[in-house]
Amino acid sequence: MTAARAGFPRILLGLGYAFLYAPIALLVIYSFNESRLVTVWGGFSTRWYGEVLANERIADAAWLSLSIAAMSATVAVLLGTPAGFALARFGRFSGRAVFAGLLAAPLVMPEVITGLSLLLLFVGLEESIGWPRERGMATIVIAHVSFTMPYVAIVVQARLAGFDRNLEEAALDLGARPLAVLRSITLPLTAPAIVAGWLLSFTLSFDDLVIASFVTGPGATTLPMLIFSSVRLGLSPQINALATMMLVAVSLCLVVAAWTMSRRKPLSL
Amino acid sequence: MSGRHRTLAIAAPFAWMLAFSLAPLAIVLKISFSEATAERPPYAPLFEMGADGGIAFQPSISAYLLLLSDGLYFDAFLGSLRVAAVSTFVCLLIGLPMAYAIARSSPQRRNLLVMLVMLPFWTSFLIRVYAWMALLKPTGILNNALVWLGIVDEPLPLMNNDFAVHLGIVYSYLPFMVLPIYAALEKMDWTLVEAAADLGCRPSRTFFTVTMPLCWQGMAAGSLLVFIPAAGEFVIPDLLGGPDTLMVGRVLWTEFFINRDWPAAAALTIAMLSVLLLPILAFQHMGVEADRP
Amino acid sequence: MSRAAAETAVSDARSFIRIEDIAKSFSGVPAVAGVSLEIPRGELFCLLGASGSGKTTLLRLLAGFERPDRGTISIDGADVTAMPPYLRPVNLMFQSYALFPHLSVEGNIAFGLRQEKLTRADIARRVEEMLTLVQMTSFARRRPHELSGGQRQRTALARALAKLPKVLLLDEPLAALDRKLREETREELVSIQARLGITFIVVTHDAEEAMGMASRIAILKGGKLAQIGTPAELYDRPRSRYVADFLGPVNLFECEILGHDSGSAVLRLVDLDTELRVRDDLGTARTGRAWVAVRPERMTQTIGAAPVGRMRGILRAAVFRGESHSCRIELPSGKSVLFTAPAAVAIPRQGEPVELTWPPGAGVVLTE
Repeated sequence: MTAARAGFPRILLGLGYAFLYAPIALLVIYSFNESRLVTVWGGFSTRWYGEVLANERIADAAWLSLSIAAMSATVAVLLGTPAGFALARFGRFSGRAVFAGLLAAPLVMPEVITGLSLLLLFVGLEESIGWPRERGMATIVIAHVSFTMPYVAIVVQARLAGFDRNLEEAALDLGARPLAVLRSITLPLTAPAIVAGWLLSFTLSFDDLVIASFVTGPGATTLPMLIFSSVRLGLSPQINALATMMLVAVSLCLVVAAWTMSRRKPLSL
Repeated sequence: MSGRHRTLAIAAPFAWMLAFSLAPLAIVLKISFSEATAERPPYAPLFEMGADGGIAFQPSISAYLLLLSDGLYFDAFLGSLRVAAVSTFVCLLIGLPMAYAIARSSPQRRNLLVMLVMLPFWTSFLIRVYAWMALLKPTGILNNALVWLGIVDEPLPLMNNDFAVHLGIVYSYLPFMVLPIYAALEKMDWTLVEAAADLGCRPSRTFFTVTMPLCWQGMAAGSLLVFIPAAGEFVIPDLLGGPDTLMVGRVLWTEFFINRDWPAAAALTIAMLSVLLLPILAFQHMGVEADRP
Repeated sequence: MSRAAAETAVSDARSFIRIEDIAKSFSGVPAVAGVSLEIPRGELFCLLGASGSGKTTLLRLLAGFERPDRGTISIDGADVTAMPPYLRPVNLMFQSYALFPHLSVEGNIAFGLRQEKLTRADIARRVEEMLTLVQMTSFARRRPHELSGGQRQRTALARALAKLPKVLLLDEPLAALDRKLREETREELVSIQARLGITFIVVTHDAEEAMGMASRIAILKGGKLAQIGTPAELYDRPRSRYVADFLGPVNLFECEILGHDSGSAVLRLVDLDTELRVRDDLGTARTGRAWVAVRPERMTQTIGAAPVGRMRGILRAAVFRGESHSCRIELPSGKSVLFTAPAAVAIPRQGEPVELTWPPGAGVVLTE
């Protein structure tokens, strides 16, 4: 392939990244805008950051979102990891197709459908067995686990599929009992996938607006819900500042994650 | 792993998915056949104890009749499918060359480039849509720049229309197109491309006759990952669309939260699922095929 | 040095490993269909077969990864049929080596020892011994992905030997190595086996490899035992065309058994239409259609009278192999016959007539 031809996709690649990052970059730049009019530059200022930090409604919503995300991610990992194992290692058990299908569906299911159907389930359950009495944090966690668990299963499955199936047999052969095999071979090898699955679930849960809006109850307002109700009314310099803070937090987490992964090289084989 | 452990490992997630993924859809189906009422919850029970102690089954198709009688719903479906199809196509047009360029770059740079595609995905969806609002508004950054540069006299109508909705969807879902195609290309044997060149095939022709057929699975997976959620999208049409942007996700939201007509919302969900069933099954089939042990 | 060696007297030496009528099917398809075998202590035994012959399944049955549908396996007098792999006195060297990627060479070798109640010092000493045995001492801290193919193979061997198992199973131990390394490693395996006295069972599809290292070979076909014996027995006195052909190039002359006469079969060769006598100690009951198998290197060019099976043909191909020529002649009937001529001997040109024969004792009568 000649240099000129190789250059064509490269230029497109550059344009693609510009398309992906320019809006975010502008959002960050204008978060330091003195002016209340978000899109008209009025000089450098960090006043909006101060306002965000002083805003108790934002703090409450952020705390609620973080708690929900942490809980959902943990339950999703606890359920999704064995599901990934089942898909990667158990061969053709009966019901495998249904199982795989159920796990694949939430990856593409429109959020409005997931949200509405889960809400109707919760209402129906309340009618018939009296639970859940009140919708809020618990129902959001259940809903988030349902749509993030498949991501964990897929990440874990992909990781396991990349490994020699004989590894566990080799450990058994060398005298390790099944639980010792799990502890000394399988879990260490799967750990990066489990961590990645947890982070993914956390992010998806923290980011979710639509599903949480359906299944929440009075008093439980997550951060995306708060942002959405504000954004609907128009641009707000506070939102720019908040968004920038969230971006920085996520980027820091990712850098730390990538750094720890790269230090444990053999695991990223 | 012993049989008991295996059963447990499958049973727990399986039970969860049955209870919170499949059962809810069954309930939606049930409620879609109920009458709307003004009570709480706002639908009539489907089964009613008769005076003689028997259980009367009282399905009602009034919700479905409502969907059929009002052209709005039909237009919303058409609108959603059109927007989703166009956006998917544009994503493919941008995503395929991007994935190709990443796959052909040096192995050390490849990981960084993939990271850069994935990074926006890790940041808030809502914030990314918000970023475009700031750009596209009549008094937004783009219009301000164009007016200041003297390219246009009046702000262009960039927001609150179908253009903005397409743009928002392409922007938000582009990583879902790039990553599966890249994954397919990465596995590809590039000596095939060299073999094609050796046999006298020009690079552009090689791309269409060798490379593309070999990564069609990635393209199909990416297209489904974009098309299905885009068709049900609510946030983007709500924030970037105009009052006349009719998409079924938005109508469903209105029906449920504003009109509080639960049976109609449920019927709309069922209709939406039926329309999307084929692509969803196609996606599941691909997943099942790919993970065959 | 070896624990196994200290217990020699316990069980009958001839049936250290006893496999009795073992069978295993996978979703209705039999992989092993009734195999019985006895392997004495200290032997380097080969399970040889084409893919799908059941050799790997048999190995996995021995290791304990599969439960047989029927039959029993006992090792050193103890029935291990229902014993899980982690309790069996058997270790397996995997074809893929299955080295733990998150552990160093040392960590891999120590893994099996850590499962026993051994002190740290004992483990360290044994690991050291094993590293020395396979000459990997200077790579002890490396991770598997930092090793060459040969180093990985040696690590896998050390890991499987570290527990001094009563039986070491090796699944295609040389398959992943390149040709030159394969020769060296084969010798190394044989010498390590001789030094430790541990019973080795090697699975391979390569007949040359099996003959080069095994004290005895079992040839498997379709999940059944085709023949068992020393390499020389199998090579020189195969009992079926399959075995004869599997172990190397062979000429099979179709014939009809007419009768028997003092330890020899009287035959009529179909392609030559001549009668001859071939030594046959496998019973006189056999009559009818049969084959005489003769290895190409046993065929000789004749000048003048020949004792048995003289044949005339046209030389069609000759390939120089260094120490010899591999030649092919075509008989008037159209049948091709292979023969090997020493490099020192002048061979005719292509298209010229050649006369071949084989000495008494070189032919084997086969009825299946």
